[in-house]
Amino acid sequence: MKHRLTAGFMMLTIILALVLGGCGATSSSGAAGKTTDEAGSEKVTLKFWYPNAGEIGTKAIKETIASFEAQHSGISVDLTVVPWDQYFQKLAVAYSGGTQPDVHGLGFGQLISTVDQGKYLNLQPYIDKDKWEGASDFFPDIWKSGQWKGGQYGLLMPDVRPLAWRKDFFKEAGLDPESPPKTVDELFDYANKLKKTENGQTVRSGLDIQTSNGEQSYLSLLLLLGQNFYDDKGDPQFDSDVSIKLVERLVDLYKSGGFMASNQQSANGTPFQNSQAAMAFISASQTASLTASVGGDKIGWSLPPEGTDGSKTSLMLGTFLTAASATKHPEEAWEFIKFWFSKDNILKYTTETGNLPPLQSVKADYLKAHPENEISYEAMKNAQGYPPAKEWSIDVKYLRLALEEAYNGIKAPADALKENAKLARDEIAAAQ
Amino acid sequence: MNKGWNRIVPYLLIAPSMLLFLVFVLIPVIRIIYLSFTDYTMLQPPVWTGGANYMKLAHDPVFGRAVANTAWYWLGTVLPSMVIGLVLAALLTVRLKGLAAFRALIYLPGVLSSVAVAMTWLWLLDPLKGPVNRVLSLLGIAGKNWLQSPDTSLGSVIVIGVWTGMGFAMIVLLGGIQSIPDSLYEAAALDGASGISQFTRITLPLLQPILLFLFIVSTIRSFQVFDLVYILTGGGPANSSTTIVTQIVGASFQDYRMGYASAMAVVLLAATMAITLLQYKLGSRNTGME
Repeated sequence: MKHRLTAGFMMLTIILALVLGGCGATSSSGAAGKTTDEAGSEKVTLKFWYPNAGEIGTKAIKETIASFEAQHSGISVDLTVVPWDQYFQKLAVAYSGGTQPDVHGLGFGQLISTVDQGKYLNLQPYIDKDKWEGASDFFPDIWKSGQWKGGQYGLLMPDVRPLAWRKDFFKEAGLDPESPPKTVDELFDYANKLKKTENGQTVRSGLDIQTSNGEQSYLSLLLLLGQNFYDDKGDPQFDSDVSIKLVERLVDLYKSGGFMASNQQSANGTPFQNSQAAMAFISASQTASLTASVGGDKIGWSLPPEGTDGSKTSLMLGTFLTAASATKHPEEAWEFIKFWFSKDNILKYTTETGNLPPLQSVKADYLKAHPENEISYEAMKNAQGYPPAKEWSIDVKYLRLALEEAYNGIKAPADALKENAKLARDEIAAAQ
Repeated sequence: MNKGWNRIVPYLLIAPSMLLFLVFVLIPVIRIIYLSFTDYTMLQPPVWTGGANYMKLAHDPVFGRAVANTAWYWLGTVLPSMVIGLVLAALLTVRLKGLAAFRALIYLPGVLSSVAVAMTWLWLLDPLKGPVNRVLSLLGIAGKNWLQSPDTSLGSVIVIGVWTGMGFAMIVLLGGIQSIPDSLYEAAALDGASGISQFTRITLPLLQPILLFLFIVSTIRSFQVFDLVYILTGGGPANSSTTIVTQIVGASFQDYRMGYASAMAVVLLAATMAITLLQYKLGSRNTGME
């Protein structure tokens, strides 16, 4: 009996240790705080996290930090770059454990869906105190995107998605390489003509549409049809007739080999970035890396095709810079954010990375380095992103599932969209 | 040393590990069980909701899918990796030149980080450039998008799970085989027993305690599969390869529903304990492991 008890206890120990070991979340954080330098004065270390910057972006961020530290001898910045697919999990763990970074990047949807939780610092008092001229230099819509209930919780590095196309693939398909599709119908028609299949498998997409985590490429099209996938109250709208017809059309295109299965969050990049797609709604911030990998002369940029009401609406998302409300160094955190968005730094950073600068005063100088991004400024005039709603994450979760079910033939598009919209509404109601 | 001291010393020796077990395992488990009866978003204090999370779990089709997928993963990986590991272990007991290199190569997937394994297979299974589809096309077989298709995503993860598990099984069983005295085989050979006979009459029966251990450990590992799935498929498409642990991570760190995620974790713990104890009970009858 005694042996049985001992063996049983040991077994329990092994099970608990293995199960919990497997469930343990990973988090990495260094302690932010004050250290004493050689001169004896206290030095503040800011923890700074940024999502998926890529090689060019990381280099530019490091240069920004080096410039900042050179001008602020009492502050050092400890950078951590995390891939997008792990970013919010790590951030959530860090916030719940009180080890959150002082300053961090945040996706467009994440800020507006989590700002109500009181985690982020309201930058408005610091902006007012400094009478910061950058506030009036921002493009007004980009400035407003970081606002919530009277507070300014983030400053946006915008990411506009005009239409990009491969001129060499157009030529190969017998299309005019200088003439992108002008209407949504033409876009689908071109996608069919530009697809390339071998042995029944699509080896090149006509249009780059992501089938997993694919809400962004879908939204680029839905915006052209005058809708968003949820309304300003957060209620899902992706089961509307317009959305259903769009997804049915996309599914037909997918079945005919018009695009290949791909994941928006793939670490290997999107098909367009890998020369496996002929057209895409892609961020202008990709200009630098695309030019390096493909060659700038092979890529055309234009406004999206005309929508149903004649407008050419682009998707605009981006990455916010925000600070934690629990930071012990709010002044220094603001100082760093302010430096990041200073004219000199933002011009240098965006020129190196291709990202679109959000300040009006640097537009002309930026375009000297990136004339191809003139179109992004044009696209910005009629751009839309996610409407501000804390229900964003629930809507996105069920929209993703609906799209995956539709693309993979698990459910008819109408059923997938309607059933998941209902699940989203139920979860939103339960959360309230 | 006096008798009293002799009684205390063993407890003193195991005290550090017991303390670690208490702090890092037992207390968190108790905390998780408590949280499973609450509504907890990490940012506000937990609110007691009784069995609401468990009621919801019982009617959650996605969790049902995760349970089924986890069961398929368990069925698909544990026995095959043990059988392959046993065959490899038996083959690698013969004296061959470069034997150590063979053993190391086969064991390698078992010691590689699952991230490295997943990245390797992402490349191997790439629908356009991956070697798997290229070889298949040479044979006239149309390749697939193995990880992005709901028909093949779970199967692909299972195959990769077997690949990583067989090396571990092989090394454990190899140790077991090498601990069997040669004299038994020599006596059997003198009696005219064939190689297969020796394997089934000597090797297998004497390996039973090790097989049971391996079965239990592999079961637990398969129940907690996460990183492979997370990197290879993210649980998709359309939850076709989601498992219980990917659901736990999604509910906790993506949806901030810690109470609900804790309920899933408690169900996983209970299921793992029940199946393991059952295996132990059934297996120990024949192995003398009690």
